[in-house]
Amino acid sequence: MDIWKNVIHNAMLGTSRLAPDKNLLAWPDSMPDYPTPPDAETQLLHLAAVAVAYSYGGTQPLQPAGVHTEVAAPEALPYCSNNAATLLTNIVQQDVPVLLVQWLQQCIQARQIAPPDLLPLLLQKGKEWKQYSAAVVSCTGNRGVWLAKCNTDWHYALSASEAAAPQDAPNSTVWLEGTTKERATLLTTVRNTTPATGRQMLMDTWAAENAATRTELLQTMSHGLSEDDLEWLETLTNEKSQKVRDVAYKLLKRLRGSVVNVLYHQFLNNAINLTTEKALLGLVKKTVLRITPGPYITESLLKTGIAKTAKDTLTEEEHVLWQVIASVHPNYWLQQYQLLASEVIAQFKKDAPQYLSALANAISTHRETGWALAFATAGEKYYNLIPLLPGAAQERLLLSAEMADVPWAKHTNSEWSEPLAMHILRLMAQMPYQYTRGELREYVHLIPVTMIGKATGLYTKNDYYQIVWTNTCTQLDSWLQLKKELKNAF
Amino acid sequence: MNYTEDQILALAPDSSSAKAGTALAKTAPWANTGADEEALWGECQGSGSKPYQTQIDLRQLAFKCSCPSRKFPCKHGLGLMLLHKKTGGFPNGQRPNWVTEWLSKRSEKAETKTEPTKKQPDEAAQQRRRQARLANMQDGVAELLLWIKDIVREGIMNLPEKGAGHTATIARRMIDAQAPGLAGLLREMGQINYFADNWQTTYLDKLAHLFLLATAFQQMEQQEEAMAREILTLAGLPQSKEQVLAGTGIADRWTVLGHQLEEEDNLTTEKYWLLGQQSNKYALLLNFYVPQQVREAPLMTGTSIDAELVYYNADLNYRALIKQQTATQPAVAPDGYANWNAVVQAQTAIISKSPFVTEMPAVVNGLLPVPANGQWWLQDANGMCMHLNTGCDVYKLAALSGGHLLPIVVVGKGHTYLPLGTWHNGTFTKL
Repeated sequence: MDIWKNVIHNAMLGTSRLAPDKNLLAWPDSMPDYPTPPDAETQLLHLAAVAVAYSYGGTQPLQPAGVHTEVAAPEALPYCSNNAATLLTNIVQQDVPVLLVQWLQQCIQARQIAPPDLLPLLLQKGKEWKQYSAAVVSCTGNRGVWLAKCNTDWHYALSASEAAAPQDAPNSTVWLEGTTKERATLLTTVRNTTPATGRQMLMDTWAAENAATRTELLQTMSHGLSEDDLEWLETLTNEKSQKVRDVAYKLLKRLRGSVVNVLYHQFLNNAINLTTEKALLGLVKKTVLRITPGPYITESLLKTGIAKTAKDTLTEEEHVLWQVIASVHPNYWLQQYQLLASEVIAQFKKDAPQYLSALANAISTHRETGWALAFATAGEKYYNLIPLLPGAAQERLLLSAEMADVPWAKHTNSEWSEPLAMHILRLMAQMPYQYTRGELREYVHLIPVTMIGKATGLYTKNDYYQIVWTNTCTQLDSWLQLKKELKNAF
Repeated sequence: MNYTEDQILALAPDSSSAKAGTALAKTAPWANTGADEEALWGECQGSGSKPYQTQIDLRQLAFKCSCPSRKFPCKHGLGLMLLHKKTGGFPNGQRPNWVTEWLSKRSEKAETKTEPTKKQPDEAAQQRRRQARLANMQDGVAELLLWIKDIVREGIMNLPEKGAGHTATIARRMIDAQAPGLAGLLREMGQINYFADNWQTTYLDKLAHLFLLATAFQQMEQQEEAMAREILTLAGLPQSKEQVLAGTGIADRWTVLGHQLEEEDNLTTEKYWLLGQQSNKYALLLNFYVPQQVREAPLMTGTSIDAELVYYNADLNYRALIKQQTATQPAVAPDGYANWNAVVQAQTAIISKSPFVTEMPAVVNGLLPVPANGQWWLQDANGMCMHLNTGCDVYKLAALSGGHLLPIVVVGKGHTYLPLGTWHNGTFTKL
């Protein structure tokens, strides 16, 4: 609209610098009897006022370029009930991720999806709580994938849906053009479903990736890791980038057939010997672990990410040995010494107690549940093994937990019994400034709903602690109430 | 009663009330709950020994509770309504006496409304005060016009450096001149974003509007009565509620289309947009609250009320008052404008009567939100678009739409509209 542009131009400069051009600002002929304005300012303002009114009065809708409508695919699954939807809203508003996970899992099991008005809420939570993004996508249906295209924050949902057809992932927009984080998310999903496809995707683009991207993407190989990955991973030990080599070695340590493990076995064969000695004047034979790591520490060993530094009460050489023991699969000891797990543990307890924690670490890394149970049966309290123990063993171990061990209670696989819940909460009540609402939120899924109203009365050290604890328990009861409602939501 | 949880929570005076109401939507603290066609009731155990008696009149959506809270509705009222929704109904249909008494009093009050005995005003003194005020306002307007001309003479190029401060003094002068409406417009001008693209258009738009209003005020004698009333209202001298309520209203079933709350300088402005189902007229209920002031009985968006509304100035703006109200019920999507062409025709019609209209409401039967070129648009069935004002939950609207057209309530002017609510599968959702 030329008149308006002229008005703006004139107004910017001001009538003192630019007298209104009578021709440019001529009053339209269709407006008769317009009185001569007393001054240039009034003339300009009259024109502006008419132009504004004319503009609004003559508004026409627009046809902007680039507007493309796409309809979401129809849903294959039914929507959840209003009660379930309301519960979801309450869980998100009260910010309890562990209950959100349970809601999502139950929704998936019931083969239902969230109603459309809750999709933005869920997709946003899937972005904030990345570990639940795949479950979120399963509960948002086809409309969720459609909606995710509208917001770059939610493009993870596109990765997840594309990875549902892994053969399409290598040519997907996300893999070819996405950010490193988006590509890593996609690759993780592919590795969890078809690891070979994921490995090939990475191999195909490896030459074109820079060191930082290689490091981040390589870490996704920890998902679905198997001996099939061995050959390619071993080639990466010659990479220029130290960070890439470190990730490669970390992965190789988990693969029993790798050259790293061969090297470690050789080292252990030399550094630790189980000998049979006579005692009590030759009447009794006993087995003894003889440990001499020093002479066998080589450069090739240190290159695999082993640090030659002292740590806590361990010397440099002892620490090197500790790290190797912590990396090697625990079944090495069974094969090497033809002993049972319980016997190996007993031998370490007797002759090398400083390396028991390394053995526990190895069990945890390689997720050996049998070994974990053997440790627990031997009375060893290594709480990092809790995730590997069966429920009853977890319970027994945790019932003897002390204040410092409480965080390990988070790693149980199933809901606590009421006695265990009372024990743990009793410990937490002694530290109400540490076990605040924010902390307790992480434990809600483990605390049985029968504990509603019971934690408030637990003894604390003093009145101030009691006030803090009571407030925390009021919130805890509210969350447990949500959990109770969740049981019947689907 | 078939309200959604969102509709119930929208009645809450603030978010903490909504949260507290939600927390009370469980059976444990409630006893002796009951319901019938006209009311809900229950007793809620609080921290005291005696439980609070909470009741809700469903005929006109009014709340009463014996708790000491000054919020309205209180958390008990919200919690009771939510619990009723959640559980699908209360078993006991026998009203206790305290509910019967309250409902009876409300019915009597509605039937036999009498004006309280007022002291007869001294009309002559009122007239003198009015004339003095008008003279004061005219003096203020004359100064305002000089100020506007100074701006135009000097040019607006350097205004970004001056920012909001450049209207502060003249705005205070308007307050002194008893013209708070003009002061408000000046404050708005000071608050525009001088770093935005096109700030010049936004500024000149408001300056032209202010100039037009000030000039019209100066020429009040030449205006028709309705326009003169409009100009006085905009300048800050509105009609009294009593004067308006004395007029003839329009009785209709009014759909409550949208609800907006705006806070500025410790003043909350509350807007309800309504549409008469028979009259097809739009209306705006406007309330103002200062901090701690109790809100008037809230209306629930997506419902209909049987009421008589009286307009301040029917042809020139949408503002109205409820003269009387009888019933509330759920509403279906009204029959609105078919497309944007129909909306702009209506916009042309109202602007041709009054250039001072700042926004208009519209129900458009079929719109869908579409992202393109880095912004959102509202597209109609013909593919025509208007800018979508993203001061709403755009993604919720998009999720409800799924790429399909929906009946959407919008409010705006020119090329930009703000969605207030929509109907999806027969259920109203506030945005």
